[in-house]
Amino acid sequence: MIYINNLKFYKKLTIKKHDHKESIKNILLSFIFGGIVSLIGEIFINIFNIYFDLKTSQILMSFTIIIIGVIMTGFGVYDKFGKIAYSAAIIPISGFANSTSSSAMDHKKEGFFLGICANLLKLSGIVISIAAVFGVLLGIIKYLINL
Amino acid sequence: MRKNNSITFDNIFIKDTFTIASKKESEGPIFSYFDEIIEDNYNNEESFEMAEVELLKKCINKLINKNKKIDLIISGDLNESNMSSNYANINNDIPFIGIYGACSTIIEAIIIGSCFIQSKNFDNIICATSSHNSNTEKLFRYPIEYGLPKNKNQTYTATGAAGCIISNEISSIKVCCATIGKVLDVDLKDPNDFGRIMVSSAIETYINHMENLNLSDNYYDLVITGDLSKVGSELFIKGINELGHNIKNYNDCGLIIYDRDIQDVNMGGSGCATIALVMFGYIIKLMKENQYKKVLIIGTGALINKVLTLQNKGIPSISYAIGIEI
Repeated sequence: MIYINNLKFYKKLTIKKHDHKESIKNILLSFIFGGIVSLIGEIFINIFNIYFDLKTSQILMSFTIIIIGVIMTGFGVYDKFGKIAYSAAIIPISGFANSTSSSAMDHKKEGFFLGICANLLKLSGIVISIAAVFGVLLGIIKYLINL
Repeated sequence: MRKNNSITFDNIFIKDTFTIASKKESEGPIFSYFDEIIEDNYNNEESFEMAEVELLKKCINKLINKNKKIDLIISGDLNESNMSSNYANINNDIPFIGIYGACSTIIEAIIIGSCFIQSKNFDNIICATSSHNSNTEKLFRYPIEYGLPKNKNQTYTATGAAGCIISNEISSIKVCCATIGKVLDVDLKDPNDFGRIMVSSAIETYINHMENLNLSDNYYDLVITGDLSKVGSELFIKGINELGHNIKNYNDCGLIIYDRDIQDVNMGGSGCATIALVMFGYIIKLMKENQYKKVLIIGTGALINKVLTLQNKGIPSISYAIGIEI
């Protein structure tokens, strides 16, 4: 059989249909678990607020969530949480902690500098790059508005 | 003898086999067919990379111990620069050929080895392969502990090593014929959907095999594909039927090795080890028990490359087929 004739047939055969039902389910689960993560953050802010002012307790909350994320990654629980929580495991700052620490764990054996340090921001570097670029852009816009 | 891209062999036999699987495979339906099982994915080594090297080394050494006169080793794996195969063969004083055919590696190895034996210059050749779940996750997907949920169409790379000795010495399992695949690209770009990518080359190889060798669909008692998984095997049957063929008994190694309902493997198993473990561990033992007489095994490989995938190029695939008889 001539291969070129089949190519069209294969393309038609392997066309992929997007599963909208699945997407809706994922979005709903992400929304619910994202809310739960935010609620936990809110509880931490309120606890820290007893001893510190609001701004300090917000920063301390971020620290706490990061540490929880890293510890969960280290014990191998975070990917299990990701399986049920979808984007709620990626978007909060715990997701940033997870991507950083999981990259570090992968490259632990290649040494401290060329292994861990070089690969630490392999995934989370995306977040940092985008934050830096948009930070500058928004800064310029703000400066122009205030001019 | 060669007919287009198919070859028939006269006197090639699969003499000995050896399989090592990990804990995850030992929880699957065919656990009792493996020769050895490792409890820990680290395999008492410091890193996953070394664990895979040691797995393959153990497999090859066991085969060497079974037959002292080995002329050549043909082996391949999924890692960069064929890492495991190269390191597993350090200082064992046997000529070595490293090959890459993604998940179809073991079938490719058997075809190359059979041609060597057919040329009458070699007598005993070891064909072996290995894969490790964590290594492929690191290499082709995300870090192992990354929280991103697995894609629904993704497959689970099997951890293990398996190999065989092919020889011109008469034994029960005979390698009769083979078809060398062609690289096909149907412009699919999702690296999480291997089954869909590989299905076209599997169909192409099956049809080439049947037409070149003038065989009817009923000739083989069983047709098995490498790791098309749930998505791919359904498309395979659909495509084969639409092209006017009808397979009476079909299965996929990725669906045999794991129980998709109980084990968390999404669409089934994949990786070099899947087809090798199922073939050497399960199918050949069933053939020796006379359950099947003629089996066609189609090894399917998605030739994924991380860089060109990011450059928005399609992922090509290749399939090799061998017919084994008792």
